[in-house]
Amino acid sequence: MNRQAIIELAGVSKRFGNTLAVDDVSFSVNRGEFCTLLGPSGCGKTTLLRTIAGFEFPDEGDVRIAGQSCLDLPAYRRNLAMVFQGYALFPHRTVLQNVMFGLRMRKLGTPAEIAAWAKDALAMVGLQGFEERHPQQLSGGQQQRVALARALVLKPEVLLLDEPLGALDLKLRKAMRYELKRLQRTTGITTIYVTHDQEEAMSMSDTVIVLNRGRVEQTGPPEEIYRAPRSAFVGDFIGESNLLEAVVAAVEPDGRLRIRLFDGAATAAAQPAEPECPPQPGDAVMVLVRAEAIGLARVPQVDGDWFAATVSERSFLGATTRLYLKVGAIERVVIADLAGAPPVWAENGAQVHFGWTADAALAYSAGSIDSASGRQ
Amino acid sequence: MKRRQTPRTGWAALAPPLAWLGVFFLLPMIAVFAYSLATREPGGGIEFGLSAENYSRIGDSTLYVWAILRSLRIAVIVTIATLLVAYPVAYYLALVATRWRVTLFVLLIIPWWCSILVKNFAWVAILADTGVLNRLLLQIGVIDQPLKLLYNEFAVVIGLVHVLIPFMVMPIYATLERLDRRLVEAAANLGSSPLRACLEVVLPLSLPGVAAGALLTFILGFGSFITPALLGSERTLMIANLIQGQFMEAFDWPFGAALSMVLLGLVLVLLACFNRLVGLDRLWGPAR
Repeated sequence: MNRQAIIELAGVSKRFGNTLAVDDVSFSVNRGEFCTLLGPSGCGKTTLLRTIAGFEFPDEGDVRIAGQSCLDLPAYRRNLAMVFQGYALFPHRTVLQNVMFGLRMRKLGTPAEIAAWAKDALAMVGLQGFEERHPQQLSGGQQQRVALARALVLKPEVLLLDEPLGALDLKLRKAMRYELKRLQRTTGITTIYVTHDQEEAMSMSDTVIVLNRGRVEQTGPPEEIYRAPRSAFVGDFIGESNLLEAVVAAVEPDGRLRIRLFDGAATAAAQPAEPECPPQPGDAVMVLVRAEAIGLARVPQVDGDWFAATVSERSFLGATTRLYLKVGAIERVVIADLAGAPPVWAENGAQVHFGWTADAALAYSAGSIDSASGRQ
Repeated sequence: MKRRQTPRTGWAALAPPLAWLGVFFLLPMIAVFAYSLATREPGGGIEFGLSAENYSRIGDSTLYVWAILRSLRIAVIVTIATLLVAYPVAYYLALVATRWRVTLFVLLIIPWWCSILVKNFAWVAILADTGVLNRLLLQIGVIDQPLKLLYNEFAVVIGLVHVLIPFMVMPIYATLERLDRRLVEAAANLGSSPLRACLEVVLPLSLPGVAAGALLTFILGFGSFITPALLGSERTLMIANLIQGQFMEAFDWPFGAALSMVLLGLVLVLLACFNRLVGLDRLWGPAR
């Protein structure tokens, strides 16, 4: 396999009682890469991280670190450092002792060296002067930094992060996101990051692995996952999207689909998500349209497909305004994110028309309908 | 005006338990204290007064001082021995056993329902010259004379450890059970072997439970009288045995009462020390 790969999972499955937490998962992480395991709760992402750390052992498959299978290696012999959810700082030790702990256990230097490195690590995360405090005396963000210093001071081959920002408030979370990314770039450390927050995953990662029900849905760089979601689940989970039930009316010569939607009341153009095996006329499909790809007009425009709707709610989000549009008798709600201030005529209760360009709609075969129910 | 009502209703709610404590705990305590200041008349009657004579009599004979020192020594040995047995049990129950935890707990609790007399007599059957242990050792030829295992300090310690184990296991189990498992995982992740993780993380964090268990065990061991009476001899008499003797055999209630007050005072001093070092709330509340 890839010579650059430092962590490789091959066909890993893990069962807890009757539930299959991880189902035949394979992926590899390259040296220096920031890789995120993203998915809703219960998707198996934490189990995978714990398997890499050595706290869980797979029922099937292999885990390799730097090309060597590590299944017979106990957790304390693996050169990985983990930042736990809730940080798991030792309450009976000072901040400095917490950071020194791993260096002492791994006997990486003389007591004087160990103390000096630990102080350097604390300085790196901006916590000089906090050495003699106890973890309980620190704020959440500071505890987070101690946990990070405790892991980074070991100069591990891989840094494992389990929802490290989950306990922080929004403002701090965004600041720490930047901070984490900066530390990762300056140290060049391979990082595996577990989160359910798509924004975190998008803004920090080189590679995102989207998981659902213990399986890998898609692996790729953030832009690719956003622009070309391989399943309706991925498209729905990442970004604000509309997932609409539709039936294929016709396949056009250029490969585009003509789909019938909103109870058959209207048709529109859409791209097949898998052009190599496009759905056939009469097939049920799920159509994914990003909220920001939806255009609004007072009257139907000549080009493209336009649908009549009623504005049922509008919420101001700052850079964008989100409109909730009710369509037809079934009262299907479509959300549209408009940049800047929306036109004055698009007030609550107003009759408007909306539409999208054919490239903005992706049609997935309806088999992926149920997997989209895992949306958070 | 409204503010005043809260404490008043508070006191009202406290009244039943306070009354209960007053009638069944404080009054007998005052009675014992009053007896300890009384004098015994030649005829056998008792004259209440404010005499310190009973207290000064304790120092007259070395018997009582020795009994107190012996009680302290036995209580210390019992506490340490109980801790050594109970800690692994609590550790196993809290951190290792998952499927069998409830069953093991029931097995631990069942002996609590049986009388201390039964538990101690069981040791007579085991440790006697013709007891189970000696016969077994004779039969396999390890010894050719029965060992003197009964009616000495060894038997008393064994009997007390047996009786007191649950008092040590429970508080330790409670602290270990509350221990954040991620701390143990974090220790492993940082490179400590299971034994190192236990010494560096689990043990220090369970010390409040150890202290609570040790305190309970020590106080109960210090004041025990059934076990030394059944499994010991006149050379292992503990302070509680002498107190019982004064009340039940010598019929010198004032002197027995004075001894009781001294025992109570020693325990209170101990509790005060514990409160200073660990905090008494650790005995029943979670560590904060």
